[in-house]
Amino acid sequence: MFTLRHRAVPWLLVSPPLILLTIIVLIPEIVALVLSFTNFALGRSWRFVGFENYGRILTDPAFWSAFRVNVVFVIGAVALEMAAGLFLACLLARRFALQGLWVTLLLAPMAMSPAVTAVIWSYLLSFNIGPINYLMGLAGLERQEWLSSLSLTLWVVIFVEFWAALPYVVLMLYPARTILPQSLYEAASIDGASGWTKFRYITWPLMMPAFTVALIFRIMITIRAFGLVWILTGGGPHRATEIISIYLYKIGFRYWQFGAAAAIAWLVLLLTAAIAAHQVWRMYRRMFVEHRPW
Amino acid sequence: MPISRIQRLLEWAALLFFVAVLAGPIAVTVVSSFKFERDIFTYVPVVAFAPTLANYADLLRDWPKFWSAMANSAVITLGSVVLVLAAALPAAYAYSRFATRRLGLTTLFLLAVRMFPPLIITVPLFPIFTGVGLDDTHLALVLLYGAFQVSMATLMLKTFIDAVPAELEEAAMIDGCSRPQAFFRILLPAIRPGIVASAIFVTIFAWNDYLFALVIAVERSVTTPVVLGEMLGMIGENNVGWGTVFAAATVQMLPVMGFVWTVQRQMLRGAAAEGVKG
Repeated sequence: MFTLRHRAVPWLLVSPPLILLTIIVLIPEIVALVLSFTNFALGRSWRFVGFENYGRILTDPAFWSAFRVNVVFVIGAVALEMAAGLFLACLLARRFALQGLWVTLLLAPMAMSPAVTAVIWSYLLSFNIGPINYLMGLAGLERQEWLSSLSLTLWVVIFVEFWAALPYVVLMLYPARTILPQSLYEAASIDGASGWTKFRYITWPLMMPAFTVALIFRIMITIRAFGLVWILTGGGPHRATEIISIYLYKIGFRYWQFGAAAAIAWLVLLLTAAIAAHQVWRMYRRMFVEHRPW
Repeated sequence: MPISRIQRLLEWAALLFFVAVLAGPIAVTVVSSFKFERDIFTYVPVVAFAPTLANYADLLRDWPKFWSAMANSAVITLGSVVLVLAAALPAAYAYSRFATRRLGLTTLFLLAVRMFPPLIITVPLFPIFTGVGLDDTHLALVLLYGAFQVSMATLMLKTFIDAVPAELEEAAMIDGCSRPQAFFRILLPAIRPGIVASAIFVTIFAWNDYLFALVIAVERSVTTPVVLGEMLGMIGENNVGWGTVFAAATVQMLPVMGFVWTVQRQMLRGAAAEGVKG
């Protein structure tokens, strides 16, 4: 059975992941598409309702509120983490004593479950006993209801998401920075280039590809954020931090309206598809076309 | 002071600032898990305190649910790692050694499917799993975690196998090894760092996931992050205190941190040993 000559063998070997993904991801996707045109709810008879679910969602103010919150959330968190990640990648390239220790500590939040992150920040930001309000007091500022303020909480949630995600950006950008040839920087120094000039004309253009990949990945991952925000605020106060995934979760698993939830799911899918398609095509080309293995 | 010295000082200050922001909150939580409730529940933070294991004793006594969730998480994580490696290793081997254009095209599917937001499939999966009797089982979560990690593992292992010259296996096969023997005896040891790295990614994902566990695991298969979320929501009622929740969070995060740390060290040592052997 294991002879190279048999042309079916490679296909046999690659089939387990393909089958797993088909059963667990692809088929449910298609079922979700069908569900989105029905009024399916658990334990009830159902029928096709055409585009009714989509119509209802697109005219629901709560959906557009979630959409707005989601856009602010993604732009805010991704902008912060990309800027800080690039800064840290360049900073770490300057080499420090105990470099390994610092890198390990900087990456530590990666090992945290969204549940643990929520525990940590619920405590730090707690109104009565939180150390952050204590520091505010020391600085002569007013204590804040960080997690239940209509105006502040979205920004707090964006910061916590930034905290949890920054290590991933560092992990992607730091190696990209370390492989830049040192000779370029030495040559620039001899020519009397300032730190900013070196960054502007060497680091930035050369890191652009890695930066773009990281940026697209982070946007896609942040669009699907759920657990952290859900545990931290539940989408509140009112709908101030209700991102689309929380809106979907409530309709699907609080009100058990699977048809409507599936319609939201497919709207999200279409929103992310454009970004994703581009990224998938690039990765495929990089792995299989640019250095042709055949 | 010359400008370069000042710049160096600023660099150190920036580094330590980010270390404090990223690692500090975790340290505060771990340290606070050894505080008495009265030392946590103060407005002015208590820095010097008498350490205690009282919170861990409370967690042991009052939260059998937490410990059974830990056991569930362990079983599900182990299952996911085994499933991903069993599916990804042969596939990565085929993609690397028998690559053809048509075979390569199927990786488009692997990549594309992974780009879908996971929340979408939770909606139909819930009734599907209920229909086939897989609802609230360990296997359901293992299949989900496996499906969401298998693409990256496959592609990562492929790049590791690409780096091992095929001549190594061919030489072994000329010496009388069969292809499976060459795979297990020659190739697997050579790509061990890649296998370890894939296992780490799957472990972190399966051990820490909240979304799938929240939707699929109702009672029997409930995992630690879900219980942790419940505990956090109960603070203030039923005598659930911050101390107990800190202890639970510490117990949940330690295995992954310890695992990543030891494995990293092993990988470094392995790399060093290879270097000595030349």
